[in-house]
Amino acid sequence: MSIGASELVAEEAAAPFSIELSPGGEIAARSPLQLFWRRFRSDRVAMVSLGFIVVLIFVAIFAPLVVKLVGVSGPNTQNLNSLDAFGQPLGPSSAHPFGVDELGRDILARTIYGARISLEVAFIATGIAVLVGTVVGTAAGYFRGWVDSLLARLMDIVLAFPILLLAIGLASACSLGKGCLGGLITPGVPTLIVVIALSSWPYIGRIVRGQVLSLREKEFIDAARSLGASDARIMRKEILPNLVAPIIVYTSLVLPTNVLYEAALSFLGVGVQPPTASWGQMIASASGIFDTAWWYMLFPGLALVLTVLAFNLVGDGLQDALNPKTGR
Amino acid sequence: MRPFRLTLTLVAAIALVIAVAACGSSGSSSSSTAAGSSSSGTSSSSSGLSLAGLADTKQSSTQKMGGTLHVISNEGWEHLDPGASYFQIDYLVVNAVQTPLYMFTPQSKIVPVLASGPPQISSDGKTVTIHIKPNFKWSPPLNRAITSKDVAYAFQRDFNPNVQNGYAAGYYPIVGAAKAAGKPIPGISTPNNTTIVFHLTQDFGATFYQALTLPGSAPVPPEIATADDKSSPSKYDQNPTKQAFSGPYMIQSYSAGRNITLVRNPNWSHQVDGLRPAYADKIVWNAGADATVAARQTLASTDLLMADGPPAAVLKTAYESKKSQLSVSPLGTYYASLNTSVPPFNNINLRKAVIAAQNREAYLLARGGKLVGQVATHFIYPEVPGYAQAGGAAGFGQDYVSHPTGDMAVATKYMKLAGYPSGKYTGSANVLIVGSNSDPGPQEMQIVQNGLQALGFKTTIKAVPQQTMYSKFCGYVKAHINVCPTAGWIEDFPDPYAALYVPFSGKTIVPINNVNWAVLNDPKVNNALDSAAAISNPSQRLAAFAQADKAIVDDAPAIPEIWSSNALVKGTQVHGVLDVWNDDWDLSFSSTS
Repeated sequence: MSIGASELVAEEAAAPFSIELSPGGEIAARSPLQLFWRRFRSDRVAMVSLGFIVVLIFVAIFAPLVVKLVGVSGPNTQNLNSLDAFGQPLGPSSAHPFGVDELGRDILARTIYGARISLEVAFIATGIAVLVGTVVGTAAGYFRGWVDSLLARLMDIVLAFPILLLAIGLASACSLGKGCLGGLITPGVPTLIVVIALSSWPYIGRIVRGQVLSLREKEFIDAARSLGASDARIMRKEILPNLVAPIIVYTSLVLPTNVLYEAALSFLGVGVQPPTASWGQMIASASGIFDTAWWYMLFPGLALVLTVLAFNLVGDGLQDALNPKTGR
Repeated sequence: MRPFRLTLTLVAAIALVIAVAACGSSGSSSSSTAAGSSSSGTSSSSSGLSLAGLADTKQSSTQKMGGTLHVISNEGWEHLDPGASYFQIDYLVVNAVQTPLYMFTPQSKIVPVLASGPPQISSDGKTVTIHIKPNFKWSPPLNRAITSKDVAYAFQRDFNPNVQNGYAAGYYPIVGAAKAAGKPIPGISTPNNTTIVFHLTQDFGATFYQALTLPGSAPVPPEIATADDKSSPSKYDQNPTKQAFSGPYMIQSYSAGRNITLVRNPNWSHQVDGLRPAYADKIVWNAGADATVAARQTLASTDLLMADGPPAAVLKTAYESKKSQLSVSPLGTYYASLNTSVPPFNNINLRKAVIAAQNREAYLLARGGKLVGQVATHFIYPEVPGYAQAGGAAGFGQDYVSHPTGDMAVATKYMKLAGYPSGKYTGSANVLIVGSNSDPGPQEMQIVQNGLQALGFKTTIKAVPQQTMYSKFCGYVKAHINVCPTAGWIEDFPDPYAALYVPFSGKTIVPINNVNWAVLNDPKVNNALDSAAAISNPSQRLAAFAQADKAIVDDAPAIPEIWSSNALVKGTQVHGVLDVWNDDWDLSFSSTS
């Protein structure tokens, strides 16, 4: 479901909403976090999805161990005897439960390792986007005037960019030697992260700006200002805590989009460098022989669908839990 | 129960492949099938895949005149100007619409076509006199007789930079030609309308004769082409329908990269030509189709010929259920050049280690398996004379090329000799691998990468279209590309000179459009090639080229990947006749039924 900015202004958000993250901190009996967790826990679909994501993250982190435990060959091992006399890959067997690809590499192992790339790129790119979007959006909304005009137009410009073309151009420009921008953007994962972060921060930025525009007119901000608090302090201590809920919800929606984005870019050959496995790149290689090697496209495709679905469902659950007014 | 039986056959084939591979890697016993044989049958006899029952691609007495021949292909044409044409697919058209002095029959026998007989070569090999048939006529609207002056003009064009001929400098060492730059060549004289005399700078007549089968020797009328040739590039190439035609067909319509239609040339006759039967009345060729779609469409059709090979997945289908529509014949060789001019592969022992560590069987599987080739061990491939003299399939026995699936012990030995006592590369070089982005290019690049990583190299892969790989990367010397694993070579005529000289002689290195991808410039190799080229006695010539081949393998300038065969597919009714020397259909010999 899509949500408008206004729906995100939760009733509770008017009051300072703080999350105590330090382990030593005391959690009040009915803190907002506790309220949130109680509501989230009751959403079974979201809990199952969260479970799937947690398992996926563990599998991704411990990929070498998991592959060893399952007993298949490594993701880059080329098993020539898993190819038929025409060099075509053979399907699922006891040695290779998901079959092999056109170089005889195990699909199961490559799907597991592919999760690493998907999650790594999606999390880091989303993290950068959230950071940049929050800073820019807060500044734009808080200062208004020419700062707002400049930053808001900048976001509009970035949103108007043909981002796929930019990605392809950037990738070919940065794919040789030491990369571009003095080695800042090297081929492969860094290029992916830069492109995805670049294209997704304005979404966060716009939401945050809208929130800040309304928040800065509230009485508690006036109170802080009349007590002599600096702009930086007001933004950090008064406004930011009130942005946590919308940011979490939006992050949970941008994250699966970015998983898909990574797959799309890898599909187009912009992504990771061979022989590193990524779902999008596997699907791209499989597309030429999908009618004779169905397993090659099915398993990475399935992994991609399930991952995106799980993130979306968790996102929905988060939204419901943080903003009960919208309810189901 | 046909599918069931076929499955069993395949399982047996796989078992055999594995068994053969295991034998090959464990022992030094050389295969006995290869020596002296150059037919396509031997290359796959050990794989368990049988070539029996494949399409008949020889000329047959049952072929009928008339009808429209339909051709389909993935790739389009590059140049249909006879002076510029230097691409397998282009030859299909050019050899149907033009007439070189000599041509190969589909079975690679050299015969005079425009020439009236074999050339008279002087005893020093430096003067070649050729008489041409007086009764060959240009197509309408020109309609006049073809003269030796038209042939002389064709050679003048070959050395005109605006025409962009790719081989004249290597194959036609005519006196004064190198400096002619589009002007008449001093070393060519035409005493009368049916005689042409070539004066060569060196004893080269024997090779020159074979090179006269290339389309660069086909006549071009000066009154039509001279104006076009003044612009760069020559406009004669741009609209081939405006050319004058000397062959059995004329180009009626042409859309670059899309389609071409050939119709009969009314001024051509089989009696005068003596070679080409020209069965079809009309030839319609559509290019630009997806390779898989085109191959499937062809297998399902009655009347289609596909001009380029089917992808491996379709090849399997064709072999299993449409065998009579499949043809397999030797193509050429693929190798991964290792740039000998820049680090790290300016170190010969490092190159040998890299070759030893490679699993070369993987290249074969990437290209479609044992049906379409065999693992290479040197650079004179089976269909080129001299293959037997160069040791056949076993080659010269250097330990780094003797293990088709790779041998890390041998690789480690050469790593130590190269100065890496741990057996792993510890230098800082990042090996740049550039190759084709269409199948099986990406696989081949990852196969090279796999072997390099096993030796500790850091690698970067760059995938680009095959033409870009040649023009901007591997053929551009200053780009310093370390490895080019998707480059391949087909000889221009069946002679070891054409297989070895251009890709491996240091004298052929040019800054742009270079085909000596390894940038190999070893005086020992250069001298061996030069002295072999001057020998005209056939057996001594082949032995000398075999020695040059050995000197090249000793230098380890490339990973010999495979000696390749080419698979082609056709419709059920059409009779496709194959040019063995070009490994593709001959449109003047193929017929609709």
